Amino acid sequence: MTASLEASFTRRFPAAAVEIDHLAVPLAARVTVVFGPSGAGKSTLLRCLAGLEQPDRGWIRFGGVCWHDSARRLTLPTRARSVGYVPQDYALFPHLTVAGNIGYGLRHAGRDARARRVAELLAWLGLEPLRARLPGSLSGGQQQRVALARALARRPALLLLDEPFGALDLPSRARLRGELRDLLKQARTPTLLVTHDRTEALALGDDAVVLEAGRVLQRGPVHEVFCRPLSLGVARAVAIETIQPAQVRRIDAGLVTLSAAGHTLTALAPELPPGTAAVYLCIRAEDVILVQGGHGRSSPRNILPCVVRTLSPDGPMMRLELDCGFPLAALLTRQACAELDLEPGARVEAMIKAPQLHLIPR
Amino acid sequence: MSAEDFQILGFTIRMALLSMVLVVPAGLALAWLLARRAWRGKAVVETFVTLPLVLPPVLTGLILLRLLGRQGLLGGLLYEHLGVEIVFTWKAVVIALSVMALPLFVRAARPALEQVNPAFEQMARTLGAGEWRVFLTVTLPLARRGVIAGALLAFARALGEFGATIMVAANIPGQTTTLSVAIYHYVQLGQDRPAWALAGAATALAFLAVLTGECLLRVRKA
Repeated sequence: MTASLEASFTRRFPAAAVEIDHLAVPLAARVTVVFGPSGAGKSTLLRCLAGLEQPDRGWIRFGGVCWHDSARRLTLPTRARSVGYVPQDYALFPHLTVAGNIGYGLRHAGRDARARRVAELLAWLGLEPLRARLPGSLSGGQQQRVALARALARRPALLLLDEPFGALDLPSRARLRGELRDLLKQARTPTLLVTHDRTEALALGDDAVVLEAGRVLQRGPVHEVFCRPLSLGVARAVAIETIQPAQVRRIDAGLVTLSAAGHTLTALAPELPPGTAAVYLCIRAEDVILVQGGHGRSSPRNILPCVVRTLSPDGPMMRLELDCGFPLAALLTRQACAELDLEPGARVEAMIKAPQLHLIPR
Repeated sequence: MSAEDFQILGFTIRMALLSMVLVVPAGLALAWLLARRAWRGKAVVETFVTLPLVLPPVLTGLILLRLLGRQGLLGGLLYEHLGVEIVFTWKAVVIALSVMALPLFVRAARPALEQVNPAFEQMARTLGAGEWRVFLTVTLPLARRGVIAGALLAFARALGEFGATIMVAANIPGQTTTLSVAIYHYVQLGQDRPAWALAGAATALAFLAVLTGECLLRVRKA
């Protein structure tokens, strides 16, 4: 399966426009996360791919088949595109049972084949006991599974998921994330998944496309995009906590010496173009290690004395705002915070390994 | 009630039901076009559909009479090519009832269709459904309460129709006489008792139809 999705189009709205500029996504049974803030055009992209909205200009091709071409006035109707679509609120048919919903797309399959496929999906998703229920009586997580089964029933060539957890409360999201990840792995269907949540993106995606203000900013393996953004825009979009301007002092065999707010820092950045003088320093909060009364030698190249400004709980973790001449964010377990007696005003040392300092030329 | 009155009652119900066979499909198509499509002249068509509701029924009847008569635009064609006569037959009754009942049906069916969330229709398209299937398996079932209530209201209206019917179908005993026409006729002859009997039957039928419709609209669950 080497289906690839290529699109280049503009869709105008009264107040904004979504411009997808030569997006090419090799899909090969991978989950590609479409990531970006609300209003970045993620849902519009999905709806245009499904044929529920038409671009004003441009084209969409999937696996060599033209789905839309404004120049040739050609649009393949939604029903002829082999897509499975799961909208944010699932849109389960309220008048059909769970089995009826799942079987809706299998009209041409013939009675026996349809019954077999529905039974297979019900069993796979553990929905057997719910087969005769109406969607109104299901929990959010159950509705999500029914919607997924319905979308996959016809074995679509492309699965489109729009904010799959948008309709769920926070505790359910965390619980169902792993479940959806497993289901998508088993489904082995190329998937485009829209989300504005970084945890979701990292948990569910193989690849990521970052979208902002209707434009594609970066595309690549999800960890690379989230840890090594190519531009300030992407760094902000993927919510890297600390972004700090810095000066390059020396570049030596991939090791870069920098100065920022009076500190000298070392970063590993073999891909930094030679001659770069000014950069943005990107540090993810979970890469910051805090030590107290740091004596003895340690391997991390960067050790910054700092003062704790604020602490705020973030699930089982604690999010810290530190001041080391520039604001620095750190993410620790609550346990670690208690052990280190971390409270506003406390003095600590922050350690960051050289490979975890990511640089973006300014 | 005499045997004759029972014949009139039965005939009226049959005519009203027949008119529903015309009104429901045509009205659904019209309501769907008004609810789901944007087109030029929509407001004009909408007005035309509503007109019989506000014009004097006798005037609607007069227009139908001139249109469907042997010298009329439509009636002439039908008579010449098919040898079909409409005016002063049961066919005229059905047409008069249909024209008078259509506005009520469309005015109930249109909001019912409009209330169906288009997301469900789009979902059906992504599952391979064509427009017909979308309408029959998604839009219509989700709008069914409003549509049925509208049909019952239109049916009740058809049962009591007088003005347009008397113009195009007149009062031919045993052939075109409907409930309202018969009641009017009895009162003209000074026979109040059979008039009241028929009126009672008409009221009971209309009451049932409207009540069923109201109940359907009220039980808005699932």
